[in-house]
Amino acid sequence: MWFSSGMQRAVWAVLLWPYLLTLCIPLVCKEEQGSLTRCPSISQEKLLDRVIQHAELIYRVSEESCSLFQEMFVPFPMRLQRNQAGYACITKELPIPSSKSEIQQMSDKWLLHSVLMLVRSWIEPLVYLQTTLDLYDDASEVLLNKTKWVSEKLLSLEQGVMVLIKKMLDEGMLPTTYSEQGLLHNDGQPEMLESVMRDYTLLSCFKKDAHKMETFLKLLKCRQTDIYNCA
Amino acid sequence: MALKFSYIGSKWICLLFYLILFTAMVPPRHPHLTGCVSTNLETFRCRWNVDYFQNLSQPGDLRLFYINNKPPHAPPKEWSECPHYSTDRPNECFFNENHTTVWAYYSVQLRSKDLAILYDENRFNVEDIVQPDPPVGLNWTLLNMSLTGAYYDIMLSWKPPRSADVEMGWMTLQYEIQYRSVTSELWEVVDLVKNTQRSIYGLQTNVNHEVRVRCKMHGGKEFGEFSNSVFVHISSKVSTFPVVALFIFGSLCLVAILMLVVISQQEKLMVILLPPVPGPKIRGIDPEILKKGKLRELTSILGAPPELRPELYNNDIEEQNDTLTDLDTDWLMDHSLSSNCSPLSVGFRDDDSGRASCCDPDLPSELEVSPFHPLTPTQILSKEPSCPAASEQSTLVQGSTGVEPLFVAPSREALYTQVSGVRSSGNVLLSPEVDKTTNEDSEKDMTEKEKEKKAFQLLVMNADDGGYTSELNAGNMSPRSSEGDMSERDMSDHSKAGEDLSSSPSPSPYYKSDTSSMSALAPVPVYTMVEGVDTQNSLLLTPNSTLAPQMINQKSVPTPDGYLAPDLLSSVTL
Repeated sequence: MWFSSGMQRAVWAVLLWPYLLTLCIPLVCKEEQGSLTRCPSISQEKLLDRVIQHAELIYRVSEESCSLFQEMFVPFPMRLQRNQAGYACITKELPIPSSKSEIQQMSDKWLLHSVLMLVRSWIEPLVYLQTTLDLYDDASEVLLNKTKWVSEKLLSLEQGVMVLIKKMLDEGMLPTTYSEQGLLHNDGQPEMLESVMRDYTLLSCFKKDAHKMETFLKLLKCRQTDIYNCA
Repeated sequence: MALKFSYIGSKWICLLFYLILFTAMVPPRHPHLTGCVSTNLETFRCRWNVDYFQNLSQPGDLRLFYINNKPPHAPPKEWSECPHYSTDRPNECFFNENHTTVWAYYSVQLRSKDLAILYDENRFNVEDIVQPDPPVGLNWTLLNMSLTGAYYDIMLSWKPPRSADVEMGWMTLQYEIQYRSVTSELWEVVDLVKNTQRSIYGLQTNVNHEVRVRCKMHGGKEFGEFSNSVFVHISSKVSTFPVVALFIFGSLCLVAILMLVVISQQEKLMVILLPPVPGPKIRGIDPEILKKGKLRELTSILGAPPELRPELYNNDIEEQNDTLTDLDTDWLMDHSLSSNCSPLSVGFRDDDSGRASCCDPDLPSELEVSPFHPLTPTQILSKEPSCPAASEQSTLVQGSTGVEPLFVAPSREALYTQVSGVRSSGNVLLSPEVDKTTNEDSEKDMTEKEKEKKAFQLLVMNADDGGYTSELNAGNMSPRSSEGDMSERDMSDHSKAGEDLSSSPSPSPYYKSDTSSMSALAPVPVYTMVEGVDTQNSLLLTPNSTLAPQMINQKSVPTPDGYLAPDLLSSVTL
């Protein structure tokens, strides 16, 4: 498929070069002498398990938040059209395969990098979502707490994936950078229903991507343990 | 009432209305999509229903179009038709792996053959429509059984559906177990588990149980179908009824035994649980005085020098038994008064429970008695052979050895008075009580009776007769007591002759005392102690001056446990 084409790889390299230029965050402790960070060393398996746990939880909480939001704010007739803007998920530009067969053909490296990309692309939108939810008059505490929790966990997931990349792929640390996509401009005061639907779409898209992350990581784990069954 | 009827009536009317509406007046529903379902997140299928439009049930009459990741308003040429209309069942479209994109949203439309009529449409994400196949391989094993054999636990295990790719981690499933006894209609639901085994506790024996499992995707909303039920049955022979009866019987027996024990040992238990409280008791003092507050009498008794009150400070805590009182009365009392060995006073008996042990025998104070009265038992016996021998004696003289023994019979309730003189006949004159305060007449009656019995007499015998002097301390001195009066009147005549007696020796025994003691006769009786009898059969009395100040604040005197110390009592005197 398009993975195999060299052109695509070149495009990838071009896209990724800003990452290489900026500084990296030291996360792995045991390999750096005199490091100021104090994280304990952890085995790769355990780290992967923990990362998967994170991803599972994030997916579950995002699913709960989505349902909560739907119950509270989305009027019933609009619920069927919740995916009206689904095609316009902010991460749809990312070259992430969506079918099982495609995913199975991905290498470990691409799996990890895809996950990292997804995570990073959602950090800022979630922060934005927090601010908009605060503007709602009757957003429940539960919903706000859930979204807050998710954005925090996402950050730690990002760090975990970065460490995993370093351990598994022996690559240098990729810097954190903010998403270049500016799809979330808040121009003036949108109409209530519009903003509701926009936020709802945001939540659904995030839920979808969380599921993707979880699946990728699980496939990765399967490959670690038993490569014959999983491929 | 009227409201109730109207409410019920309106309900029925509404029901009827809807029934009519839906059956007769509403036109038959056009074909519609019943739902799209995926079982393994890799494929899915969409189904629709043709209710009344039977002419459209032919294959190809209805067509399904879908569009993927694009807005549904796209022109029809971008829509694709169903990749595969199912052959095994009608009105179904199957999307295989190639046409399934997991995290993409789908729009599906049901149209007529000529695409002109749009009957129904649906939008979804594939991961949202997952309903996994039921688990397979349901199996149970016995974990353990209860002691009574009435309940048991099982471990249920199963396998995930084959269609779901759990090994790879493509799908994470959660399982829900439901079980019930065959007779009941209600299913017991066990919480979701991620493992493929779960234990069920507390199933009853001899009852047929039905167990089934279903699963859903982790984070998904809808459950799949239930698996085939598996039946669990364990029979046991132990029936529960005798166990319960046995327990009841055993507990009843235990209760009965306890009751028997309590009843038989009631007294002992009462002593243990409610130990007897020592009542107010001072040896040598009538408890009636203590109870009824005759403090003046009390102080007159307790104000005596401690040596005169041997009974109060007797180390021997044991009660005086009746034999003792018998002995006392027998040789202490004048024969004219009573010659039989009647007890001195019933009232003197100490009825309160201020004793260390009810069952302890009265110990004879042999040690005290022996150096002084080797002959007294025989003397007593010789004097009054009809009376029982003394078993207990207490000495008045404690410090004076070598002196002719004095014998003083102890008597708890004995009151003290002062010797005012000694007559030639040998009788000792005693001064009467100055103040008598009685609160109630009944007390007087009681004390009257007691006084009658408590005759006293101080016998001073000639030394030739054996040489003992006895000092009798009896009960209340009252001018009204007949016996006491007799001797008292005799003695009071010579009260003024006390002075003379003190200095003049006479063949008849007399007592010596300091002038200070004599002078203290009139207003406040001063007591002294007879130390002994000299060779001339005269009484040797201890000097009073040293004793007087010590009378009241006599703290060095050993007090028996539990008894009120006289010095404490004297502090409450009027």
